Amino acid sequence: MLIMSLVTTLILFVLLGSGVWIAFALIGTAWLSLAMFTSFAPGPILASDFWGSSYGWDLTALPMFIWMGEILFRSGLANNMFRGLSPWLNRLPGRLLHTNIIGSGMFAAVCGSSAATCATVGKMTVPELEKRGYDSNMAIGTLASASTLGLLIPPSIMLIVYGVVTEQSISRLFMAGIGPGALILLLFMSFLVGWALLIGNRHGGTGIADPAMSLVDKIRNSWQLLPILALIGGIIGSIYGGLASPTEAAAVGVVLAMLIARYNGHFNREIFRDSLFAAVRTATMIAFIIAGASFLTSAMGFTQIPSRLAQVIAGMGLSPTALLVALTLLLLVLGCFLDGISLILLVTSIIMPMIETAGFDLIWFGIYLVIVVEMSQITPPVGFNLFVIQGLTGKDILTITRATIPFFLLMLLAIALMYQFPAIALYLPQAM
Amino acid sequence: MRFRLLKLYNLGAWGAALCMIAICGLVALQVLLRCVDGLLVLFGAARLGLGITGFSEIAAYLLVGATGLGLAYTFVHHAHIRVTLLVSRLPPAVRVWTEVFCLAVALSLTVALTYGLTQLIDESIEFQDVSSGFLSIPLWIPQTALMVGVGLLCLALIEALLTTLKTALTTPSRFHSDDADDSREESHN
Amino acid sequence: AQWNLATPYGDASFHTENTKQFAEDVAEATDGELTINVHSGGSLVEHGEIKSSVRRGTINAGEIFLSTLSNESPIYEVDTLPGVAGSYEEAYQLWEVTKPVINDLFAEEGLMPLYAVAWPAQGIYTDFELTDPDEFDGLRVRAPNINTQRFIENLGGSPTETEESDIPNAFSTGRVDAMITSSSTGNAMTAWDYVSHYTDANLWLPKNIVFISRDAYQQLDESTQDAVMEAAAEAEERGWELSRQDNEDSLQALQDNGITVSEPNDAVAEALQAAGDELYESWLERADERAEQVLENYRQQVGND
Ligand code: NA
Ligand code: NA
Repeated sequence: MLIMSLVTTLILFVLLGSGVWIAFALIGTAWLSLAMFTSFAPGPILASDFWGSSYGWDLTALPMFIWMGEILFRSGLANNMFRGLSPWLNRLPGRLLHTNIIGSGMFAAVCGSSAATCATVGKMTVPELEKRGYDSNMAIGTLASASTLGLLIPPSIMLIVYGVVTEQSISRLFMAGIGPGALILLLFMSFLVGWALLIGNRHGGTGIADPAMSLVDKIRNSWQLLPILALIGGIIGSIYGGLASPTEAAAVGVVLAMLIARYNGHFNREIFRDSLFAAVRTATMIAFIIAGASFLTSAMGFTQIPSRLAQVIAGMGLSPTALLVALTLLLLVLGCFLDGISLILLVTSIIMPMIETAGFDLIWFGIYLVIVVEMSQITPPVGFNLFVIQGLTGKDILTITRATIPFFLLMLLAIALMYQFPAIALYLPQAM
Repeated sequence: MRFRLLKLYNLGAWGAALCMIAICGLVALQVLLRCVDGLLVLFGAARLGLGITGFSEIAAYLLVGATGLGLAYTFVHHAHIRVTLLVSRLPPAVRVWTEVFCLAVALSLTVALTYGLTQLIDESIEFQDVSSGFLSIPLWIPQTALMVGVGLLCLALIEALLTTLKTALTTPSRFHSDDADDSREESHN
Repeated sequence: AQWNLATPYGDASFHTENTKQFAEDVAEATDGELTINVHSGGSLVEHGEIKSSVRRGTINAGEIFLSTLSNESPIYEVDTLPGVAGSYEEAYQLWEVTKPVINDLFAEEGLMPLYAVAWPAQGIYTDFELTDPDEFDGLRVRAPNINTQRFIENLGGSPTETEESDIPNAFSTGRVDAMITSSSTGNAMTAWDYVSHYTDANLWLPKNIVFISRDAYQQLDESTQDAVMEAAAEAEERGWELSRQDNEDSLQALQDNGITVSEPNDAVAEALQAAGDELYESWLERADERAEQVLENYRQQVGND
C-alpha cells in the first residue's frame, strides 16, 4: 500500500510539474493508478464519473455565484464598495486588506461553497487591492484562506454532507459553525493587524492612506456601500425570508446584481455579455477540475488507499488527544490530493466508529472536520481555492500557497483552541 | 496560437451561455412565484401555490450544457489552469517538447473520454434511461451535450498539438507559450 | 473474487448495517473466496448512477431506493402507493408478488436482485396537530417524487419540491409546512428541530433493493453462488427485522425528543385512504396488464379489495 500511495503521488507530481492542465493531471493519475493497481478498466469508470459529476442541482449555485461576481466586477459596484469602505478602515492597520476577510465572512453567510466564495469575493477585491498598491501576497493569502469560511459559516454544503452521512442534525451543525467561524475571522484579522504594524506598513504593503475625512464626509461617502449592502441583504433576506433555498439564492444574486447595476447606471449589453462569457470560462474551468477530482476520488475508492490508511490509525489504539493529532495529520496529507467532500466520504466510514468510542461529540467533530477540509482547500497540489486564485490572477500555485501558510497555521491554532474549549463550537447548538 | 475552428468553439460557448441564462431565468421565475405567494399571504389572500414542476431537475441537467459545451472555448482562451512554474524556466527548444507531451496526454485522455461517453449514450438509448425526478428526461440528451463539449475540446487539442508539433520540428527556438500573458490580460480587462 | 458494492446510505442507517453484515457473511461462508467491499454514503458512486454502473460492470453490486426507478416502469411505484400496503406483513406480501416482475425487468439489463428491505411506514410530520382533513387545504407538503406529489394534490395540499438536505432550512424559513417520510428518516434528520407532531399514518413502506451484475455472478463457482444466495436470503430476513426494530426505536426517539406521535383520527384516515384510492386508480391506467394482474392478486390475498 505504501508503494501504491507513493507511485500515485509521484505520477501526480510529474504530470502537474510538466505543465499538464490540472484537470488532465488528475484524470491521468487516476487512470494510471486504476490500470496499475486494480483490475478495473479505467475508460468506462472515467466516462460515468465524468457524467455523474457534471449534473446536479446543488452544483448550479457555483456558476451562478461566479456570474454574479463578474457582474459586480464589471459594473463598478466593487469599486464603489472600496471607495465607501476606505475612509472607515483608514486607521485600522492593514486597511482595505480586511475587506477580503470581512467580505468572505459576509459572503460565506450567503454561499455554501468555498470555491464560489473565493471566486466572487476575489473578483471584486483582488484587482482593486492591486490597483491601490497593497501587498499582493497578503491580498492573495487573506482571500484564499478567508474564503474557505464559506464551508464553516452556514449555509454549508460540507456540513450538510456530514450531517446526512452521520445522521447528525443539520441545523445544530449550522449553529455550531458560527462560533468557530467568528474565531477564525478574528484570528485572521488580528494577524493582519500584527503584520501591518510589524512589516507591512514599513514596506508600503498596506496601500496609501486616504486623506483624513470628517465624520460627516465619511457618512456621506458611505452611500456608495449601499448597492453592495442591498445585494447581500437581498440574498440573505431571500434565504431567511423563506423565498429561496440556499441554492436558489445564487440565481437571485445574479438577478439582483443586474438590477442594482442597472439602477446605478453601470449596466449594458456589453457588460451582460462579457460577464456571462467570463463566467462560462471560470465555471467550466472549475467544473472540469471537479470532474477530474471526482474520477481521482473514485480511483482512490477502488484502490482503497485512503480507507486503508485510516485503518492503520484505527489499529494503533491511541488516546483521544493522540488520535486527534494522528487524524489531523492523515486528513491534511490526504487533503493535499482529494477535494473536501470526497475526503469526508472516503474516510468517515472508517473513522466514525473510532471517534464515537473515543467519546468525541459528533457535532463538535463535524466542525473539526470542516476546518480540516478548509485547510485542504489551500494545500497544493489539489486545492480548489488555489485553483480559483490562479484563474483570477495568473499567479502560480506555489506562490499562492506560500502566501497562505500563515493562515493555514492560524487554522491549526483554531483547532487547538476548539479542542481546549469545545464550547466555542458547542455553546450555540446546546443553547438551541 | 490561431485556431481554424475557433467559430465552432465559440458556438459551443454560446450554447453554454444560453444554458447559464436558462438556469438563472428558471430559478428566478420560481423564486418570483414564491414572492407573489408571500405578498398574497401578507395581504390576507390565499396562496396561488404556483410552481414550475421539476425546475430543479431541469436546472441540474442544464448545468451539463453550461459547463460542458464551454470546454473547448475555455481551452482556447487559456482559462484551464496548469502549473507552469517549472516548465516556464526551460529554453524554448525544450519547452516546446514538454508542451507536445502535455497536449498528447490531454488529447489521449480526451479521446478515451469521448469514446467512453459514446458508449454511455448508446447504453442510455438502449435501456431508455430517464432521470428519476418529476420529468423523466431522457438521459441521452444531456449526455450528448456533454459528449459534444468534450468532442469540441478534442478538436481544439488536435489543432493545438499539430501546430505545436510543427513548431517543434521546424522552428523550436521560436516557441513561446501564450497562456501566461493571456491570463494577466484577463485579470485587468 | 473481489466485488465493490455501492450504497447511497450512510453507515448510521440500518440498511447499511444490514448490507455490511451481508458482505461479512459472504466472506465468511466462502472462506474469503468472495469479498464484497461496501462503499457507503455514496462515496464511490452517487445514487443516480449506481444502477447504470452495475449494468456497465464498473462496480459489481449496488443498493438503491427502489422507487427511484418509478419513471422506468409503474411496477416500481407500487411500494409508494398510499393505502396499498400499510403494515410490514402486507409490504412483505407485496414484495413477494411483485418480485418476479421486478426480477424480469432487472434481468433485461443484466442485473439480478438479491434482496429488498422495507423502510418503516411513512407518516406525516407537521408543526401542528393534524385533526381535520381541511387542514390539508393549501398545506405545503414536501413531495420527493411524482406519486407523493399527486397524493398531496388529491388531498388538496400544495406539493413542494425540496431537496432532502434543504429540509431543515425549508421548515425553519417557512417554505414548507409538512413532510411525508418514515419514523426512521425523521429520527435521522432530527425532525424535532423543526416540527412538533408526527402522524403515524402507515401510508406505505418503500423499499431498498440490493442487486448484482449477472455476469459477475455467473463467473463465480457454484458453491460461491449458493453462499451468496444463502447470505442474501438471511439478509432479507434480518433486514425486515432490523426495520421493525428501527421503527420502534425511532418512534421512541421522536417522543423522547418532544415530538407528539399519534395515529390519524377517523376523518383524517378516511381522507388519506380516499386520496390513496384515487392515486391507485390512476396507477391502474398507467400499469401494463402483468403489473395490474399482480396487484389484483395481491389485493385479493390481503382481502382489502
Ligand atoms: Na457558507
Ligand atoms: Na489540498
